[in-house]
Amino acid sequence: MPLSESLNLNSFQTKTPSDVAEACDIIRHSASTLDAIVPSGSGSKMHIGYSPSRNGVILCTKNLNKLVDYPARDMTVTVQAGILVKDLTEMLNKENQRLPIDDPYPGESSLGGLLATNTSGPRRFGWGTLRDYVIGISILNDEGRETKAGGRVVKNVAGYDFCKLHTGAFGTLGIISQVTLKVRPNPEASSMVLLSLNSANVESVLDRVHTTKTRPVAVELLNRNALQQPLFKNLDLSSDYCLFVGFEHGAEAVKWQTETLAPELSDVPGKIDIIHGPSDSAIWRNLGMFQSTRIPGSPLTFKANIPSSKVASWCALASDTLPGLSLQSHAGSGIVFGHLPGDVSRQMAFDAITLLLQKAVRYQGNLVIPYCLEDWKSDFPVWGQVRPDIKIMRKVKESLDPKAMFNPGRFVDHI
Amino acid sequence: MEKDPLALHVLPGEKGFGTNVDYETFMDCVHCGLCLGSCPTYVQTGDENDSPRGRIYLWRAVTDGRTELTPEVRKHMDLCLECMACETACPSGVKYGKIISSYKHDMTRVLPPAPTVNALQRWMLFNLTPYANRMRLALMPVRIMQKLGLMWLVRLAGKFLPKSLRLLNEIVPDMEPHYGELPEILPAKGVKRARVGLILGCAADAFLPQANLATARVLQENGCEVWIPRTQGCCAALHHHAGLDTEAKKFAAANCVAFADGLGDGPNKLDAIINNAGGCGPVLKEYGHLLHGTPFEKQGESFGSKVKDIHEFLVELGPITPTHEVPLKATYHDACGLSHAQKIRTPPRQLMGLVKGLELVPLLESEHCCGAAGSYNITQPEMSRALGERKAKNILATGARAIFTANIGCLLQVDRYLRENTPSVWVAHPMEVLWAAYSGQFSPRLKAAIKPYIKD
Amino acid sequence: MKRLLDSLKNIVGPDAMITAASELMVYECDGFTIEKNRPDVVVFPTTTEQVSRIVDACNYFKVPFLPRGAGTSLAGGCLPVGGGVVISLARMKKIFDVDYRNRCALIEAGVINLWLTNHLKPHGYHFAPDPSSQGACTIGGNVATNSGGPHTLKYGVTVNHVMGVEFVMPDGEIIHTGGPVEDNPGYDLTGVIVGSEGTFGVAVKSWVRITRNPDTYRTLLGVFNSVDDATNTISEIIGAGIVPAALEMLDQMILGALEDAFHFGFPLDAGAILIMEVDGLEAGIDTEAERITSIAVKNGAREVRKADTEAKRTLLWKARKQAFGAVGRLASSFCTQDGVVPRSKLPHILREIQKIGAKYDLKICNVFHAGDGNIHPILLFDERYPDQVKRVLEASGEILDECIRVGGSVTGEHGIGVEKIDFMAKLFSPDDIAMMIRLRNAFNPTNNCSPQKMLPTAGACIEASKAGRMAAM
Ligand SMILES: Cc1cc2nc3c(=O)[nH]c(=O)nc-3n(C[C@H](O)[C@H](O)[C@H](O)COP(=O)(O)OP(=O)(O)OC[C@H]3O[C@@H](n4cnc5c(N)ncnc54)[C@H](O)[C@@H]3O)c2cc1C
Ligand code: SF4
Ligand code: SF4
Repeated sequence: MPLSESLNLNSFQTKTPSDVAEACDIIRHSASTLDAIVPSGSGSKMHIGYSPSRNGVILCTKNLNKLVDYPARDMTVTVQAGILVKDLTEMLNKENQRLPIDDPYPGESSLGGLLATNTSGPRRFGWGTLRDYVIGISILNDEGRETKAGGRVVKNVAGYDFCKLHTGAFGTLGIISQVTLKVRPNPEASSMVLLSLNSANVESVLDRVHTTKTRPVAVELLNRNALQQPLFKNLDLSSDYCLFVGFEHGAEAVKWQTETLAPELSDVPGKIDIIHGPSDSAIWRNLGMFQSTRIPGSPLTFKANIPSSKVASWCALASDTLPGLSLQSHAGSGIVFGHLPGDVSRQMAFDAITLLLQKAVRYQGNLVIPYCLEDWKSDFPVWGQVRPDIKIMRKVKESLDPKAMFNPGRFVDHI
Repeated sequence: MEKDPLALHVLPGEKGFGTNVDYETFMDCVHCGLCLGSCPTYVQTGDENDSPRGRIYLWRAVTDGRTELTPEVRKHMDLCLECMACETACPSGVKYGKIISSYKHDMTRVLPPAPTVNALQRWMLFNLTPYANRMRLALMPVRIMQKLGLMWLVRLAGKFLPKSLRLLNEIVPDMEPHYGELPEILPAKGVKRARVGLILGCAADAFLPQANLATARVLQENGCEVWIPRTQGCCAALHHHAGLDTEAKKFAAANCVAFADGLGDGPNKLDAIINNAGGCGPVLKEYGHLLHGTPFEKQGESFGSKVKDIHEFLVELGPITPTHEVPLKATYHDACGLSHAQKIRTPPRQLMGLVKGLELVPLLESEHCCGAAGSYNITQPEMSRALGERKAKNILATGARAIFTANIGCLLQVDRYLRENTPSVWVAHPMEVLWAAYSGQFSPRLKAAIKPYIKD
Repeated sequence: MKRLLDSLKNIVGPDAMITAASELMVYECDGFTIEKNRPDVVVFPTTTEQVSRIVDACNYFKVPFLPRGAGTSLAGGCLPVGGGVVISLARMKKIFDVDYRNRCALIEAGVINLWLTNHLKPHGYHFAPDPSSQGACTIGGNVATNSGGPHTLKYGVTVNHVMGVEFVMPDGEIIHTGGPVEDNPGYDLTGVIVGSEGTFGVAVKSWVRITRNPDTYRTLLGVFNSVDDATNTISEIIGAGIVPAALEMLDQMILGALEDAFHFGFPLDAGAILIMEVDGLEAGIDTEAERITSIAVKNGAREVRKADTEAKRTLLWKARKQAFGAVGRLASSFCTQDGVVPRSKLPHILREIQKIGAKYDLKICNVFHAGDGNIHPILLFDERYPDQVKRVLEASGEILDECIRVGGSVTGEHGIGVEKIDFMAKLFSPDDIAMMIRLRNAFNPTNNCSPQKMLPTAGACIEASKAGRMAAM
């Protein structure tokens, strides 16, 4: 996505250091001039959050993209954070390994960006999220020094776990310069079972999938509008909902699970399709990309996090509120993405989001807005409802970035 | 070290505290804390002073002179159930039993009996309980009243009884009629496979005679000739645990005499001396030690080596599968003396597994002490109640209609706390259900327990 | 102090505190016994509010405080360095709410790890982190030290299974981070609180992930003539892209002791054995077990046995988990280290350990979480000989230095505590440590909570002059 479509960064100059030392110089310089620093990798997620509260520079890490160490036999890899996820994937694939995290912007995301935004997709149900894979991290801090935490071994409890802190911090605590990841072997096989459902059955089927004898790694629920999007058009599905249950394991286990799940649910009215194919096949990729799709004219995309058991009822409420909504849920994990239709007014959208947010909060969850028209951000709850632990987050921010240099104002509660 | 005016001291010239245990026993404890979760008193209070590691640390500190024997230290040591769950849990093989017994023995040197036991309770405990006949006589009125359905009167009157008697009243289960006296020798059924002696125990025989009866019958059923010497007495466990060694030795010696005929190599030689109460077994097996240095040393050793727990014995012998079905969901509580002290956990389950229709469901914390622990329910009533209630709660959570456990103390304790909620659950010795399965004779309580399963 | 005691009594009541010197003694150390210090008082709160008020009182009277679970820390995490108040969570052991549908549970900090798993068992679930101390250690302690265990190779350590905490901050404020729902926006405070060894405050409740039990297991025992063959097998299994549920190595010396203790039937002439477990669905599991077997055989395994009954498997794991206890049979004293190396460096580090043992004339045996590269060399000695103690300390240091040199760490699961503070400066630069201090200051600016733990600050240096008998693994 071109930067112009994103945050209001018009007066920002982009600096693209070629190495860490140069990046540190830029930070030090900004520290002296009190300029803001907006970290960026490849720029694929520059629309997320509030526009920075101060002017300054965009620090682009795309040239900090070197492989540092890949001892494949240890199943760990150390790379600079600017590396494109695509390049990392390719490299790992040569050793028949992977980072089992879905990238909604294949080809575009940098690893650092994926990490800072803690992006995930369908596979999170079976394989977890990035926080489970980062075992070492280097950060360029507010003083322009490279500091590290964690290490290069898979088990390590020496010192505080900055890896977790920076994962999902949206670059507000420093620039991620280097990362060590745990990686996984490529699965031997994969398959996807598709169940067409009508609305009335969604809840009970989700409950049953929860207790299935099989062990899915992805449980995805898409509504009719979503199924009509180009990503899924060729599946030719037109039921109220479609449930995608994905398996990735050894060949025998995948075969058994595929053959077991369908009969388990055979009494559910609706058709069952099965898609075999490798785990990088189109269906997996498209399910991973839905969250980043722009439906033409859609002014807003939200992400709700709620208990898995509430997905069906919450989705029903959302569809009732905004009939044109396209919904995808990582139903096993309680994550729901929704793209608003192009024809909603600002007021309608605001009311709907307010209602859905309230409902999510009542379930101890939340709702954030990864994308919306820039001028809506002034009154929409971009980061959902602020929770009381914001106090501690502020203390952490003040302590690690006392001059508020990194992405000032962009993240939760304009932190 | 601050001086505590209430601390206990040894008399000048006497040996210091803790000198009666090999110091290496303390050293074996590496202070890892792995025993904590298995200790019922620690689990209840959360105070590490009430944990095995804590108690070892305390007693070692007293031994080392790092602290005095203060009332606080005593409180924690006295609260120990001596259930030996910690020995089971400890990977370093720490002999905790030696440590607690060192404390108990030192206490008898310097103290009058523990203050929580009043005179009447104490008299009952040490003068009545160990003598089966006295006990049976004492319980006679209760039994008659139960028979006449007048127990409610007693329970009502209980409110006005002195606390100690009330306690007795609470402990007493709904008793079945005593079988009277068994013949001294019961013949084996079928081919004779072994000749065994049977220990009846004291409290057990008075309170729950049906367990003894069942044990004897089951033995017969399995081809054993059973000898029940008339002159046998208490196993000595009660006194031994209280540190009253002189009395303990007397009881042990008396039993050696009672069974003397079967100990040697003579024609009446016993293959085993069978005991069915988990709490008695450990002491019976240790008669050799207990009588060490007395004229009965040799006989004690022979006696001890022959003692077998009933379950252990039957499994070794190869039990005959019973034929009658007992359709019952049941669970099993590991009596400490059986599971921790004698490490017998599988045999009872194996035997009950032979009973057709019996579904044995696991019991959470089955190897946690129920709080009976010998005289513990009298000396530490609060903790005992807490543990009893916890046990009852866990039993109820299984949904079982029967709970089996192989020790008189546990049977009484479990019965007492279950009775408060669910009197219909059958509390019994494993031998009782086994006998029912051999004979097809179902006692009224068993019938009541299986009722929900029988469709007509 | 008297006034502090009075206010504590007001908060928790007289039955929930310990003040007698003889009782406080029991709280002067944890599983790490080299250093000892008596606290001034131990309190046993039962509610979060009580914890908060206790913390307030401590701050008001400027007395340091520190949380304690079961005290099984092997790094002196519970050592009350400057005295003060020990806040024991041992009476907070309620399991509130197990939500099987959403796979999470809310539990109090004092719940014993294994109880949680036992509680979940009838429903086919468990709590994945399974430290060898799981029969005693508390969830709060697991959270504080980010505990691992044999099965964390496949399932991850504690932090991967904690979704949120109810936490009393060092200034007494009660906060909630995360919760039963994933992905709450904002910083992952839960993630940094886990593993902060009590220096960020007191974890009172946690929302934890519960994990479905695997349908089946295959537990294999690989018997090798040499340690080299075994370690090569480990790195080849990992390198082949197999993720076993657990992969544990035991060397000859420890085998002998274990056989004494458990009578498992271990081959006593083997140079090393590997416990290799795969789990999951019935479908395909034998193929996986066969792949592992053939890798083992290729690397010189003399035989690969199956623990084919549940009883055998249980006994095998019991033997493994209680291995250190058996070490007591080898020597009167021992000292265990907790280094980590990249898994491909296992053959190297074990050869180094052997060399170091020879150099210092010490017997060293090994039993460890091989799949993670987490080594636990156990150095045997007799504490009555000061010369041996000195050699043990030097050899330990050298082993850990070698772990650092090959890119590893000095602690995989036991934590820094007070024991390893000196190594922090070897692992991290002053800048790194400065950032950690800044992070701590965000939570704990006065450093009144668990002072002198984890981070090297002036005065925190422990004179490690005397290695006592120590438990581990
Ligand atoms: C034999 C043995 C085997 C072991 N095996 C393993 C193993 O396999 N893997 C492993 O990871 N560890 C292992 N350990 C170490 C130890 O058991 C773990 O670190 C365990 O998590 C500590 O739990 P605890 O409840 O005993 O905590 P404690 O020892 O009481 O405390 C540990 C630290 O956590 C802090 N703390 C405790 N509770 C809280 C709380 N509620 N809030 C904040 N801070 C708190 C304390 O201040 C202290 O710093 C082992 C220890 C022993 C003795
Ligand atoms: S008694 Fe055993 S388990 Fe308990 S602390 Fe000592 S060594 Fe550890
Ligand atoms: S004997 Fe029982 S009560 Fe006593 S310390 Fe051991 S486990 Fe605890």
